[in-house]
Amino acid sequence: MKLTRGESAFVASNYVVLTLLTLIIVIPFWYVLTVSITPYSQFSEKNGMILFPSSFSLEYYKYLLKEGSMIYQSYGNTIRNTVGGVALALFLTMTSAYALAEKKLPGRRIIMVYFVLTMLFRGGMIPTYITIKQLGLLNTNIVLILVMAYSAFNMIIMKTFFEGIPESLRESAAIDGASEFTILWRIVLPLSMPAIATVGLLYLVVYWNDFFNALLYVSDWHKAPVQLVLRTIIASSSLPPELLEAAGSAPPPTIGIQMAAIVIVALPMMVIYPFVQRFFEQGMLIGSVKG
Amino acid sequence: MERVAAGISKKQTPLPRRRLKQIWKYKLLYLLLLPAFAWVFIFDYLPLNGIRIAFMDYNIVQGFPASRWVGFQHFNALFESEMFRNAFKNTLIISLYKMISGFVAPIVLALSLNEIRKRWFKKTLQTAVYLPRFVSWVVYGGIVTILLSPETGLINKAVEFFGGTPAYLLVEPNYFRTILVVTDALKEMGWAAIIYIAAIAGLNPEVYEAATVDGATRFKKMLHVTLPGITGTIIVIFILRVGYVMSAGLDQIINLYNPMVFEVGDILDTYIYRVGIEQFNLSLAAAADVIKGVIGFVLVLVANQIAKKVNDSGIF
Repeated sequence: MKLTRGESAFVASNYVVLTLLTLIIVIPFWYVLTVSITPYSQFSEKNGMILFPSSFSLEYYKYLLKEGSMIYQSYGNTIRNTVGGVALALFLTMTSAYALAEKKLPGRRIIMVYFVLTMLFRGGMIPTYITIKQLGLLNTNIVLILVMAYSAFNMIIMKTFFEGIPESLRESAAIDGASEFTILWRIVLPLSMPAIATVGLLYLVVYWNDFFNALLYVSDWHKAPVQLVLRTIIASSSLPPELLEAAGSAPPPTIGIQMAAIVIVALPMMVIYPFVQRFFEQGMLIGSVKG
Repeated sequence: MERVAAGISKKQTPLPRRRLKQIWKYKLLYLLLLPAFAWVFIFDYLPLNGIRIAFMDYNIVQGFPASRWVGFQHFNALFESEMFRNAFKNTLIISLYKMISGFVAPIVLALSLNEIRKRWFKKTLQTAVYLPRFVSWVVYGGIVTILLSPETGLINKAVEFFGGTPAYLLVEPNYFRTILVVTDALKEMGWAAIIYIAAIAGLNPEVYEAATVDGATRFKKMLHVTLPGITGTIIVIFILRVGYVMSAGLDQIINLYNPMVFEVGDILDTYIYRVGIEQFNLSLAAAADVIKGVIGFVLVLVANQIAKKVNDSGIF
């Protein structure tokens, strides 16, 4: 297709602007990674302007990952919360979405209202905090797994997807004598991988990245997720005493430690999402259809 | 569960026996609903009961039995509090700013991406702009803080390089809201654009062909075919955003603000957190929660009504 001159200018400027925007978004991440693996001597020599490292050092990582460091335990807490949380969240979301996808289910409308109402009006931070406290969940290992385990929004994405699975598939399986459970397990689940991947990723990010629920409900450092430890590392110009105990000798400059800590905390999600991208791009399309 | 279900089907079938049979037929599905139903009850509906502490002097040690009712006392205290009024005002202002940037930017981004015809280039850009969505505000706020820091920050080095005077931007009330709006847009716009990209992909190619035959340029097609084609999606997203106006970005602000910028950056959520959790004034903070919740609820309903009138595309 031939383009007029005006159109070529439009297309070219579009390329330029989008490329610039992408660079603005990506460079900060690249910079953090670079500084975290550059020796401090070079950092101060170049006055902090490093985008490509010419020498390489893992001193910051070695310091952060010293034996007995706070990072290990908190990282373990985050992994436990994330694995347990995503499993529980997917279970709750898929079971309820599957049931509500059945159009003939008596009472479907009112049950739907019951779930969707929570998207419109919530108790708020303090009433929820009081409830968690009354349930005896404050400062427990399971509180963070529990409080984030359900989102009506994700349920709607899932339900819309289930509704798209042809009725005939399930009916023919039922005629062949398959039970409802077999149908769910053998037919519906394999067909729903894009939706499961999308919703699973949404929950994964919520669990891995949560710090505010931890701030509210967990005050014991031994139960804190790694985001909370990172927050302390970033907020303090000096390092938290919990980390220093393990350090002993004089710590390397704070800025490098902060950047290395950011990389350690952020890396897993940044590695995972490109693999799921294909799915969530589809999955959000399903979500964009009215629930 | 069955009680709820029976209640609704009353109008549809006159015979209770048949209705019970119907319900029994779906017993497995009700069983599947039960876990989520219980979760929502415990973590979404029980807290509604906790709202009453906004009308009490809550006794932290002994709980509800030892707390007495005080009516609207805490609400009056809030309206007289300079700090609350400030947080309320900031919430609206910051939300409004973010509404403009955070709502418009993804639409523009999706439209621009749609004009990129080289598939690999488009995919690369998309992967890149999604990136910040996958890190927490602890991480992103940390990066922003480091980049803006007066001694070591890259931004200040650049300012210096071009002959400017470096400043500690995060403690400057004049810059704080701008920083909030820009970093919010940079972090979220890629992800928020997905839904529009998906909507654009679903548009009918014949309309484009017809427009081409009529001599429309690429830019004209973007404006007169693509944009109207996704109006329904835009309105739905707009309603959802209006519902969040009272939440101006707790995760972001709590990781970026400091007492120097409370005047322009303190919002209802950060106020509630400080007063309720840090200062243990749970009843006062809960009253602020109630104000926030009620206004937010009304706003969604109003926005939904307007959307229905304008475009017949409300979400409920």
